[in-house]
Amino acid sequence: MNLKLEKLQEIYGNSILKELKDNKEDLLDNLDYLKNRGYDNVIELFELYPYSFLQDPTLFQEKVDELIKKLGVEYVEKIEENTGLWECIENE
Amino acid sequence: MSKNIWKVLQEYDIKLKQEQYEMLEQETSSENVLEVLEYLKKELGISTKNIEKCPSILKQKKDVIKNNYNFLQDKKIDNYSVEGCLHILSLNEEDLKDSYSMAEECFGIDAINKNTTILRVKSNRIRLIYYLFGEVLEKNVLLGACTSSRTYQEIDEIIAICNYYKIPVTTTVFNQPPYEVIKDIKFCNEEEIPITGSIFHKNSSELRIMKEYCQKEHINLSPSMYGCPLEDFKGIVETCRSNKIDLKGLIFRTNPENIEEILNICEEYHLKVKASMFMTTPQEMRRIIAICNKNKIDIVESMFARSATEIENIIEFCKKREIETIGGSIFKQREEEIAKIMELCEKYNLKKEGSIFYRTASEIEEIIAICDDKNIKLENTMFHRTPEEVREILQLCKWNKILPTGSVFLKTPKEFNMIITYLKRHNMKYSPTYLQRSLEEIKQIIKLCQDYEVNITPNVFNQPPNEVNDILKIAKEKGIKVTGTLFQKSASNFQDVINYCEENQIKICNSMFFRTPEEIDKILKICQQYKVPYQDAMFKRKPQEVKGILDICQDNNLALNASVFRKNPDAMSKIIEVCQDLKIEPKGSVFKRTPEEIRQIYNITMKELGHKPTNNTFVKKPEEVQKIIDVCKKYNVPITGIVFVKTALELEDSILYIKREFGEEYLIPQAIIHNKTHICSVFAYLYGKRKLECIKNSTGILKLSLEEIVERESYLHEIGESMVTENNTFHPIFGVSKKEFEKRKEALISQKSVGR
Repeated sequence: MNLKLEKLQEIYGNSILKELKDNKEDLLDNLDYLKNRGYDNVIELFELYPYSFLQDPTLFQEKVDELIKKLGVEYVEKIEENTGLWECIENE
Repeated sequence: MSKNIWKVLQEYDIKLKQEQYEMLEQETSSENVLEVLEYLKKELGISTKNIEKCPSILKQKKDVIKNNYNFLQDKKIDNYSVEGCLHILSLNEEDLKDSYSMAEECFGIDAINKNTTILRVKSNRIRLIYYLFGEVLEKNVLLGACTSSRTYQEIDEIIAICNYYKIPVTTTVFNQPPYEVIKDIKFCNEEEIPITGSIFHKNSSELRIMKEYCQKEHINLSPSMYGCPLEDFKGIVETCRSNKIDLKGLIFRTNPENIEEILNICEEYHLKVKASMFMTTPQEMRRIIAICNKNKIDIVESMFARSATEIENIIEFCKKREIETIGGSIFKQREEEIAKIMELCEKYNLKKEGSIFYRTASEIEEIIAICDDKNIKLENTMFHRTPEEVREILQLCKWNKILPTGSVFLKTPKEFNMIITYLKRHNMKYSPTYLQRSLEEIKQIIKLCQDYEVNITPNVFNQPPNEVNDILKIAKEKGIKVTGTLFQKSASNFQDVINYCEENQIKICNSMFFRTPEEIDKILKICQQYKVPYQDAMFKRKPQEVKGILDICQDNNLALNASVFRKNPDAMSKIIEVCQDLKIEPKGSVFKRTPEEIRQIYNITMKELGHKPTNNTFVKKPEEVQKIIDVCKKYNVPITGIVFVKTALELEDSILYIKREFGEEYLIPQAIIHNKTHICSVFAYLYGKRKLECIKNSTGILKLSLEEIVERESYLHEIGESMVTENNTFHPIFGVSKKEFEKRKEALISQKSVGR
């Protein structure tokens, strides 16, 4: 997995690296989950909204399921067109 | 020999040499010996070992001893100092008072406590030596001069000799008369022996004999040997050699017979031979072992620096204070010091165990004061170091921008400095895991990683070089990707796990290397029993813990993901209990916190925000949550869940920058979580374009780097569209994925080429 850590550091500061390290398992779980739901471009979404992927997998999955339900079957295309739709996963 | 004196001594388990028995027989009576022993043992608690070291006290009258003791108690000469120097109690009462008075005037009470032998010296001698040499000698050396048998003339000559040869005047130099000091120095210069204070335990002939013997036997002469009587030296070397014991340090403080007997005791009680055992006598060792067995306490190395009586007193003391686990470190201190340390533990809420007993009470207080002064969290590992060393290490951390966490104090300042200097020179980022190894080991491990062409992860330093080598070799043979988890256990365990997985056709998970094959097998069987698939995070827990966690998840309907394996079952149960009590859902980040922290965070958010904490709030510890809320309130930033992904310091940094440069209106949660440098570049760019205002309505643009923003703006320029829409938000192009953007760019290029 090729994560552009330098870009994340630049945008979010050095602390993001520690967060990634501390929550590595959750991150991998969440990336896998989204991929298994049919969203191939997970890495780019992660680079845009890293904190959303560092959440506890249970919560992440709940939120993702809800978003997919709201957006419908074409959710992949809709998110690709407007990544801002993903912001709700990061928010509470 | 009088049977009565012998019987009395036997009753108190006091073992003396024949000539010592005979001395007592000639100079005192059994009634006197009994009276004195009763007083020393029962009233003063003096240990048998110390009475054996100073049997002449048994000649003195009990009243004299008692008066002297009371005098010293009044003067606050601690019992333990007297314990180690019983000769003082047998002095003439007037002489003792005079000596005390003079010693206090010249050296102070602390010096007397450290060197109680001074009280045996006549007050005239103390006064004169202090008067003659007080300007040229340090206090501890002056004390040494007083307690030596050198005349004033000789002391003067010795000082001159040391100055001439440019060697420091130490207390031991007064062991020899001046002509011998010169001979010793000349001998050391001729033989290229480093001149340390301990050399002067021997005259030059004795040094020569030692040197020649060592050369013949191919032994390195070391300072610890010089204090050893010559008649014992050869015997010690031979005994150590025949028993394969290292010839160093404390072994030279004892004699060959003691060594043999101590080794026999070790064999009898199945004890590993430790250097500190040679600090005590075999008799005392047996007493210590008996006390430990009686109290069902493990025998630890540090006990042998104490007398059996002291050990017993310490154990009793711990029992009274209901200290359940009596670890070895507690025996590093005397009972009085332990009492002071306990008071400090209660005052400052410190753990009453472990490394805290490496330090005296005053050192502990000094370390606490250093932490307060520098506003640094007190770490238990700080007690491995003296206050001065703690200061040095903290300074090194500051200079090198290293967070002073626990592991930095496990090395001396010199070692720590060497390691971080080496890492800096080789452009390697510091990690606390490096501190598990010596510098030499670090170098070896780095070379191994380079030879095997693997990335140097911090966890590789969990193992010594030989283990690292074996693990890398196996990983290479088996085609296993090298990550940090491979180094959790030894190479043989690593191989065993791989073999197990291969034999049972099980897919290897990284975390399996935290466990032995037997544990992995048990976990897999538990998963089968509970009909759940195994997952990587499970193997970070022991089998029994995995079972406990699965039970809890079943009972509480919790999803089985990595977070539930963060804590052991006990901790998990307590967390669920607290969540039920506070009516919070037991999921997500809640498992990152302890029950107390959950409660604290709950109280903070209820008080400050008027609602229960959201899941993001549990990402941080209570103190940090409070700080984040304080910062947001201070600058009127709306407090949403996203602010808790950063620390208060980072938030404040970004907030202050935005407020100063662009105004408070831009203090939006989604903006302030970004790095100040990034905010600076993007905000400045948008401000230059007069488009900054739109940030208030759409912060998504901040997810892009400045280069990406410029690239997309350039695209918009090509297609003749504005950066900003009618609604004063940024054009949707700033929200498309990179993949989608590339598609559009290519479409534009194709369009243009078709158009031509």
